[in-house]
Amino acid sequence: MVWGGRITSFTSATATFKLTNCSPMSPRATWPEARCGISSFDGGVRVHAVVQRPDRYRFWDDVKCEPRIARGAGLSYAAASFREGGLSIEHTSFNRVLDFDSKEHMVEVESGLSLDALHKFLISRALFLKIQPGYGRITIGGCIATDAHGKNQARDGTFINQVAGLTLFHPAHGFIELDDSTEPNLFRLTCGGYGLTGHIIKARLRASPVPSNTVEVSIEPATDVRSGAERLRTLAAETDFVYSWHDFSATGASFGRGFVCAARFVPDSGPPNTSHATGRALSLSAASRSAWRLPLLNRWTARALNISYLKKQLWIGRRSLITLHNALFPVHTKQLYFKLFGTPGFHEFQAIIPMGNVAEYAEAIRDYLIRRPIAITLASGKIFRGQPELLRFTGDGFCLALNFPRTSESGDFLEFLDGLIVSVGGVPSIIKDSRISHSVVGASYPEAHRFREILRAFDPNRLFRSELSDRLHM
Amino acid sequence: MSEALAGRGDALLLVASDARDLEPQASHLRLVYGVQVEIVAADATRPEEFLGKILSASRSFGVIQGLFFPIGASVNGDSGTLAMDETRQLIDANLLSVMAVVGHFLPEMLAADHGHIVGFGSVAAVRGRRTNVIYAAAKRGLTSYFESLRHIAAQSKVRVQLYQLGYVATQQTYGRKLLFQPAHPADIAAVVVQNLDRDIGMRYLPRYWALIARLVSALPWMIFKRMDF
Repeated sequence: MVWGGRITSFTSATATFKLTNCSPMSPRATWPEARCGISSFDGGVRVHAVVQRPDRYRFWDDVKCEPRIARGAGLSYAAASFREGGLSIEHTSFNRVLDFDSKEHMVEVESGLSLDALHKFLISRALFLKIQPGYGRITIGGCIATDAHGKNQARDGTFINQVAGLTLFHPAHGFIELDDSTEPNLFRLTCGGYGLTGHIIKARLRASPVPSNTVEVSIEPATDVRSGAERLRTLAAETDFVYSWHDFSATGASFGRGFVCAARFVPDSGPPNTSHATGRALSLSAASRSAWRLPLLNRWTARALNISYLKKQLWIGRRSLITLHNALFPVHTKQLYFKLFGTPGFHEFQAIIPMGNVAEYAEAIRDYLIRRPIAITLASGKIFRGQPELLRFTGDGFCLALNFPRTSESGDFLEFLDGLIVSVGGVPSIIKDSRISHSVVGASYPEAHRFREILRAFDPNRLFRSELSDRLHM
Repeated sequence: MSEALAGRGDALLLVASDARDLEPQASHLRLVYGVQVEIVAADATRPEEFLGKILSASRSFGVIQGLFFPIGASVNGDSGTLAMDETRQLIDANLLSVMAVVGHFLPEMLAADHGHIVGFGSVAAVRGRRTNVIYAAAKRGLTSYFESLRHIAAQSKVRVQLYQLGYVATQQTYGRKLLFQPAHPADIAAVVVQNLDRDIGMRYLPRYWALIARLVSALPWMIFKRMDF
């Protein structure tokens, strides 16, 4: 595998990239590396890999043309930032705010900056990112690479909508400035490209004004999944944060009962609160999540937890006030939940189901669970809107996430879900499932083939690889 | 260290070898903490040039009230047979550059009867071993130099402090199997800032390294010579 001297080109809408500065593979002796065990956050993939954590820009001067993948906080459920024996480059030391335009609400940051740190910076300027996942340790680079969604995808879209531009580094192409107008193909390939186009070095993000620092949460009961989804669809247009929760451990007519949670900004007095509302240490990592050897979640504990959680939410009542920080980062108060799965870990199966097929989907799951009970610890829904493009997780429908412990029975259930989601014309999430196969992705992502073609045109040697990309034959 | 000082509201003149690292750090500190930050790209292995660039930048920066030296260099193969130029570079980066800068600013601080001079040594210098030979010698020299500085400044309000650092989570320790968990640089910086106005002289960080240093120093030669660390 000698790539030096080979000249290939990738033509985008506006430019041709020449592969010229790619030196032959050679030992990487200049930067320290750790040989360590790494696992996906759900515990499904465990490998030995080599990790480098550069903290100087000269690192990019002597990068060799060897297979690699970028890594952020390492919190992806799927193995997107490592592979067996592979090289992972961790970006967390590049975690600074580089520029800020108060008039345009534009902030430029290094990709290793965490959501929590950026929120702290923006909120003191009465701004925030509308679209962000619920845990503050996740990095900006990770959000771009997975095209993460936020609390109201139907209204706000996915992370790409607030990325004004980014700087990508590829050993064969050097540094490339990308945005949706000058390099649209590569830009759209990179946002939601699972790190396969290169290292995301910097990003320019569009922040939004914060209407207030207080959010009013209202909870209303839902009798089943379909009614919850219908109510969500109405509320998504009217509210700022919205999701549903369903009890899939309940049986009979109670299956899928739950609540719909909608939240709106309400006027508050005083300046934005710049403190971290929960004060909790953000300690979740793939390693800390799996620290407890014995899993504590099973059919009985899941049932008890679901019943008590539903009762608590309905008891808390119709309206309550929480801080914006708590609304944006709900996982900060639920870190223990993930640890309860213990060393074996858990599965998440998240999928967008066409609205017309939600009832059929939920009933099929109920019927399976009657025959072969599985401890469903979480069933939570959101409304999604968007056109399918490349491998981005988007589409029109009801997005339902299921969590359940990793057990000897869970594999069969996942196979059942794979078949079900394809049969109802849905789209499963790639980043939330560490074992989803290329055939399921091929059947549910109409542009999977196009993604592969564009990627190979840009990087014919496929330098950026992960367990995820290997599994999906990317 | 710069983040901890900026968090206090201090204006900073940052010095490092590569402007590509200094510029983002300076932007970050200006934006996040709202402090004045200037940068100087200078190579500590060339002490005269290093001092010259700092002096030039300090003229427009303003009065220097504190000097912090989280600086150092080590090389693989520092086992007693380094070539002359590598030996000189290690001593220049770890010792001579510090001396050059302090030597210039100390009279101003003494005259103003105010200032902070904070150096960072290493536990590698506790007792000479067969590894890090020149590095440890330079750091041992730094210890003696800071003892002298403290003595010089004893009658003034200039605070002279030397921290002997154990394992710190930097590139030097990354990926290595160590006896103890490396301390996070931000935690070290927080302690340094907390102690700024105290006349503490020399201190080990993390603190348990004081005990380890004592034990290593007290080991009989018959045992020490057999140790491979």
